[in-house]
Amino acid sequence: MTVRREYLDCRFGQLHLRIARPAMSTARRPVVCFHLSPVSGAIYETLLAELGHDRMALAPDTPGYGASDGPLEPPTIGDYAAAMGEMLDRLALGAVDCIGFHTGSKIAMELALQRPQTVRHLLLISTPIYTPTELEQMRAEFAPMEIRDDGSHLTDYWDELMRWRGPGQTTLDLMRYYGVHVSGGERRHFGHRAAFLYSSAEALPRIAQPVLVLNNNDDLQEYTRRALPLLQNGAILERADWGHGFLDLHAAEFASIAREFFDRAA
Amino acid sequence: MTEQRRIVATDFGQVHVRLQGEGGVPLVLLHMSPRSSQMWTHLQPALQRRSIALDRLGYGFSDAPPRALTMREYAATTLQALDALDIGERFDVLGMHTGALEALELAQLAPQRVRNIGIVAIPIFSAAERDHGMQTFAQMKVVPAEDGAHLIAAWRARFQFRQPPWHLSDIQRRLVDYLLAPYPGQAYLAVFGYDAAPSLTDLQHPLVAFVPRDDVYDLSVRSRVLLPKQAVYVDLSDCDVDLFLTQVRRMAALIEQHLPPA
Repeated sequence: MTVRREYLDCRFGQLHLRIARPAMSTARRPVVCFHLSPVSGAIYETLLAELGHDRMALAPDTPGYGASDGPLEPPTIGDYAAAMGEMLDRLALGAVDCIGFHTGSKIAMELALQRPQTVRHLLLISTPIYTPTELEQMRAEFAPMEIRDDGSHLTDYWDELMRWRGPGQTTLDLMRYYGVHVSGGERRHFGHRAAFLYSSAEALPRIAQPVLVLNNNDDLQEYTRRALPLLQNGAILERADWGHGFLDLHAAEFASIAREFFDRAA
Repeated sequence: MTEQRRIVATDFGQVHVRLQGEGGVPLVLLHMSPRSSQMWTHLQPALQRRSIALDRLGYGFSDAPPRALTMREYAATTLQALDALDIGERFDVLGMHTGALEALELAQLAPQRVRNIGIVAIPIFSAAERDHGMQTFAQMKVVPAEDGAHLIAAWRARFQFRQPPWHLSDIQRRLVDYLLAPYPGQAYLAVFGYDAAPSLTDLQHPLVAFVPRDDVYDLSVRSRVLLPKQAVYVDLSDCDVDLFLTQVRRMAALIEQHLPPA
């Protein structure tokens, strides 16, 4: 299935998105995928090609990431979600199902709250729930990128990716998204900043739509388990055998999990 | 007018384009390797006309082509992208290094559509130099090391041919261009497979050759004796490889003079 790219307009300027359209028209709802910070919708390219066989599947670059224009001032998750809502309006998609990954999970949750009639299912890859102390620590870690003339800022980011390298993920796999990982410039931290100002603990209990949380063996595994009592209509799927990189390494299996969940009667 | 970006389809993949300005004969901007249309983002707002900067396939936010392309195929792809953008029948073209070679091919491919041509630091290689380039530049790939040493090497390489004070944010942007390319050396296969000398000599179009003292200076001064009689040679030996970053107003004025928008 071919994944095409296009631009459309949103409140922050031009929004770049990847989209796979099935060859035959389908009654199945489109799937909208929101990426983690600070990368882009490129991480979903393999998955879009899988899902695109039987439904429309798309992945925008969050404003300010990848090839999307971004805000000049730090936005909130609410702002990102509103921009994504504008994307849905422009594409005239009707009801959709959503996949979110880390920061993208929060955008998906907020979009589900802003547009409860539109967003029907949420498949969230990690929904970390932090204590106030942890949140403070997290916020302190995500400062603007400091470019150092010895290049050590690059190895700092690389070391972090190596530390949380997923099962089966090679260094070439890491390089596939490394360029976009460090491309955000002075506003690279906006996504993390917004994510750590957004409380999943407050949002999750207000979400009535079916939620499936995928909990991989990654940096958010412990924090994500805390979400279980907050889910009104959901479950956590533990996949200790998956970690970062699973979207490429296990795209077909993940697509079948997503299909089964999205096509279940709400 | 702010920058407008577009994604357009071609036979070898989708091309990412940055458009700015209005009016005049459009100016097509072709980047060096391994860069992207990002290298023109300082110049474009300084031009009093419509300009179109494309990411070559395999670079920036354009798709990677399904195989290595020849210079003629890169030029044909650019022409398809321009038609998809509906920019009109006639345009000027300005290219640097790889982009200068592609500009010549574009003029050969569509001689009636290209009006004026600007070439910046066009490299003229001997056969032996082309062979050498095929074994070196054209093999440029990122080979990751667990300790991140490949990133430090790539970072240091972005300082080459430059003097302090360092423009760190631009070095970072050049590094990002290099890292966004799945195969950074791919366009060099076309560069070192291409002999610019006959194309240059046979050219009938109005032509200006800008020659800064950059990393290919020894190669680009060779163009002087190959230029067709109508060409203008502009010595910029006080400029370096970053002339579209550090000499924006001067370059905009030179473009206005030698590639006038009207």
